Amino acid sequence: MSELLKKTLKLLVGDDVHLSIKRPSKRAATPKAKITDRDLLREESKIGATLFGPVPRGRRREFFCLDESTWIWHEEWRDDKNIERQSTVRYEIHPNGVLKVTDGPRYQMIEGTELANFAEATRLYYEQTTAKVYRRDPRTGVKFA
Amino acid sequence: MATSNYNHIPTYIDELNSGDIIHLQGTSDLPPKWIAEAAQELKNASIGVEQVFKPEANLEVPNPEELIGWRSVATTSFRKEEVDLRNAV
Repeated sequence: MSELLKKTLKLLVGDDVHLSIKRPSKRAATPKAKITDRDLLREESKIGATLFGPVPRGRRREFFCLDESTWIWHEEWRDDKNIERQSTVRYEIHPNGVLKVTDGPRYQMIEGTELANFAEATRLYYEQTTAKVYRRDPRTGVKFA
Repeated sequence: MATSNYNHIPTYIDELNSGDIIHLQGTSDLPPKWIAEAAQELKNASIGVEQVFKPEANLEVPNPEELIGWRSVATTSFRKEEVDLRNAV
């Protein structure tokens, strides 16, 4: 598994695989948990997943901005034989084009309709996450009063 | 004649032998810089490059940093600021 994929999965799922559910104590006041990049990225991804229409039942979709030059599309589903499948696409923004990296890995610069669709998805993502997650005006980046 | 395309260049080069001639196909959507680097790498390995197909075509792609990149830069910046802001409360 590539380092980037590991980093992506860690951001999404975390490395605390063994979760135990404990009833919160009413007596002990627990300090408020610190928010992390990963928490916000999850919030963004919930919005990102909806930008391409409804997610079919039984599928899990993620679409998010990983860092300043990388966008991730990740989808998981079960095929006809009930086998788990997943696909991750990484889009890298380069000065001379958008590189699409798919499983394999396969590399391809996107153009035409695909580039236009991707640009539109990032526009919607930016506008919606800026307004809903960060409470900022997407046009100015300034916090809402 | 060995034939390759842009999806296979990184691994395919390792499978070539000195004296082979490679015919590059489907490279019109690759950045010219990458094609030049791949061609140089092949040349260094004494592998002939017969054709490089329209590398200039990529120049027609709109500037992706103007189109998309600023949004990821802004989003990442908002994310960092939000973490600092919320954790400071």
